[in-house]
Parts: sequence; C-alpha cells; structure tokens
Amino acid sequence: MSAALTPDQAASQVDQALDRLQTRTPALAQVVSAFRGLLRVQAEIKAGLPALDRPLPAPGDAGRGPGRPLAGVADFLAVEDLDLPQHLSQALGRILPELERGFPALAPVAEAIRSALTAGTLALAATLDALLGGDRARLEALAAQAGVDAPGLEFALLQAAKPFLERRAQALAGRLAKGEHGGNCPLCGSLPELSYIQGTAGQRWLRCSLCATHWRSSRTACPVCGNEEQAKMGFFFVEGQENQRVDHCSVCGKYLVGLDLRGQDQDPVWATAGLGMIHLDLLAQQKGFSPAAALPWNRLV
Amino acid sequence: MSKITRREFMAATGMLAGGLALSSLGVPLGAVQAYAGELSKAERVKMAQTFISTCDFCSVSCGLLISSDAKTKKVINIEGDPEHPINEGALCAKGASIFQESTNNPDRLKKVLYRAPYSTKWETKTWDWALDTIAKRIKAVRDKDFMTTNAKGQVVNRLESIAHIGSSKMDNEECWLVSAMLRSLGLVNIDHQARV
Repeated sequence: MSAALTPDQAASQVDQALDRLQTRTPALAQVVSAFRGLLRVQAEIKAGLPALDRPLPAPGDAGRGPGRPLAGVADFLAVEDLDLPQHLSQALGRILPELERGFPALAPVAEAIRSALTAGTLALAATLDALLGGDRARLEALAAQAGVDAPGLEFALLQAAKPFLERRAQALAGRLAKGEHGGNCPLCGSLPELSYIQGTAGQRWLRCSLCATHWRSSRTACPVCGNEEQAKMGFFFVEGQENQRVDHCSVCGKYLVGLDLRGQDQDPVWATAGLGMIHLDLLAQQKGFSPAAALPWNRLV
Repeated sequence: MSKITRREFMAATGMLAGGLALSSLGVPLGAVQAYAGELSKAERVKMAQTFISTCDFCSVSCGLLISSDAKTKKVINIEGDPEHPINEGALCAKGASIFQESTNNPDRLKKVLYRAPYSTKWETKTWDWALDTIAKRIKAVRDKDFMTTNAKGQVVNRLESIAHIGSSKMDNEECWLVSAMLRSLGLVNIDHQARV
C-alpha cells in the first residue's frame, strides 16, 4: 500500500510503473509524458499526509443507510489533523507547475489560480465542497470571484485534492461492510474508474474514480446501470493483451476498462493502471460508448 | 466549514476531468489514435460476450461464465461463476476442463472410433454400425447369461456378465432413463463415474 511508502518511494514507484507502461505500449509515450509529473507529485503528496483518521459521526445520520454510501462530503472534509485550506494551497503550489508542463493549454488557468491564491480571493475549501457536492452554480460563482476559468479550476483543484481524498478514504474504508457491493463506491458513492478480476474464484473488484476505494462487485451486472441481461452486455480485448479488457453495456451506453490479475505476482501501481489502457478507452469511445466515470485521461473523442 | 451539510459524492462523478477533453489540454493523441487504428485494422480487437450457464457434468449444477467470440460465436473461455451460491467461482477438475469439450479442441471426437478386442488400432465406424453392434452383442450376452434363479432356486432375473459405469456427463433425468433400461436387462453391476 502506498501509505507505507515515503514520498520519494511513492514517486519512484509511479515512475517505474510509467516506464514499464511506456515500454509495453510505446504509442502511449506522449500521454505518459504528459501525466508523469502530475502522478508523481500526487503520489508524493499522498504519502506525506497524516492519518486523517477522525471517525465518522455516529451511525444514524442522514445520508447513510442500506445501499447508501458510507460517507458524505462533510465526512471527507471534516478532518482534525490537517488544515485543509492550507493543505490544498500547498498541494496546488506543487501541482500547478506539473499541469503547466504536461498540459500546456492549462498554463493561463494555472497563472490565474496563482494570482487568486496570492490575492486571497480563492476560497479553496468552499470551492472543493461545491465541486464534490455537485453545486455547479456555487462553483462558478466562486471561480468568478477568484477570476479563474471554472472548468480549469475544477480540473486543477480536483487533481490537487485527490491525494487528500484518497488518504481520507483509506482512513474511513475500515468501516465498510465486507462482501459484495453494487456499482457505486460504497464509501463515497462515485462510479468506478476500472475493474479487476482476481483470485482463484475470479471475483470482480472495482476501484473508485474519486477516492480510490476498492470494493467487490458482481461479474455479471453492469456497474453503472445494474443491467443483468447478458445479451445487452459485452466486452472486448486486444489479441495478445488478454489481461486488459473493456466491459460495455448497451442499456446505459457506458463502458469500464478492466484488468485480469489472475496469474500476476503483484498488484499494479493503481494510480497508473487506467492510464495504461487509454487505447482501449479510445476504441470503446469509437464504438459509441462513454466512460463509466470521466477521468483526466479518458475524454478522448 | 460550518455551513457544509452532509451530501453524497454522487454529484462529483463525471466531474473528475473538469469537463476537459485531453486534446483540449494540449496533449498530443496522434500516436494513440494511430495505435488504436492499427489494432482495429489488423482485426486484433476481439468482441465477445459472456453468458451465465450451468455445468452439465453432474447434478451439483455449478454456475459457469461462458464467453464466446461475438463474430465466430466460438467459445473462448469457460470459468466458474464467482456469484453462484453453489460453487462461488470454483470448479472441480471435470468442470474446469469443460472448455476442452468445446469446438476449439482439435482433439474433440467427431466420428465413432472402434477398437476390436485385442487390437491396437482404432477404426472409424458409422453410428449405425456402432449402435447395431452394441445391440447385437448385448443381446447375445444376455441370451447366454441371463439368470432367472440363483443357486438356491430363488427368482433373481439378473444378468451379472455385463456391467455399466455411468457418465458424470449425464444429468439426473438421463441417469434415471439409463438406470431403468439397465434394470430391464437385468443388470445389477451398475455404478457411476461421478462417485469415483
């Protein structure tokens, strides 16, 4: 687990995984190069965070119950061992140069965010709260107040907050009930970024696109719409790369990339696993499917 | 933070990319597009479907996931269904080898093969020949060996010189039919391979 690594070790682990990925699929070199700095810094930030293990409020709060995610926005953001606005500001300070290097079109946004941080016009915790809660009107108002392009701010802030969200999820995940859950993350409610099959029983697990929690889910149901009619689902893979696949559903029109880890000695470096399958993302989107969850690297068509 | 109310994260799904396409961020995608195009052109992208089924080897009826190529319709993989309450993804040696019975197996028998007593060679025969020969030989043995009474003079109506070993390929109903037929011939030496 990355939590046990030092920041340097975590960054090195990401670097090595990206090197392997690039060697395996040279066509991904430019995309890997764009994301390398961002993924390295995110791994460093996450490994350097404290435990963030403030317990959830007592059971019975609104928002929890059968089939509902365990934690809400407030649960994620209410931490005692971290000054969240300060952390987000520092994280942005490290992330923005990597965004400028990897994604040249974001340079003006990065500059505007820096100016807003200096001027004190960007309310980071409130903006993250609006972003996670899906309050678009509030988000746009906060972005306008800071003088930053709203879509660019969303992108940058989420990338800066992702290490925190993942670390916080690790602290909360111990409270999840064991066993099979549906297609949405049982901790935060988001859709998965990828699936993987593992173990001799061939169980399917999903990895959350937002908080990186892993949970077991059905092999035979669509994780997005719950469809169980097999004739309306399918998958594809590339001959010679049978350990990677795309599952798709014609009921909801969504797809999910996946890995078959059976026979593998060790888990992949999860932060880089999805990036290594963007050629499958592209093929799926060319076939008319859209991703289960939008990720920085899977908006391709 | 005091104004924050408890909300679920559902609303954040779909916003992780901030609504920005990768190409709009200045990341060149030409190589990836070319690679995906090559894979499609070389027909290396295999479309497939998975169907839930039941193992036909025995009456335990373990759950299977059977995947087939969408174009050729040929079975490409069979494995245990991890959600099935009976086997939870596991299969016995016979169930695990069920893929070998599919049309992908080049050694799958497609014709009747006959090896005569003491012969070392297999001969190809027709189904008509095989069924007629089996019937004739069974009748000949039954006519010769059928016992109506035993040594004590008790009525037994049995045939001890033919034995039958059932196949675990047979389902319950087939087993009943075969068993009834064998009893009608008088067989008492009846066993089943699934027990072995």
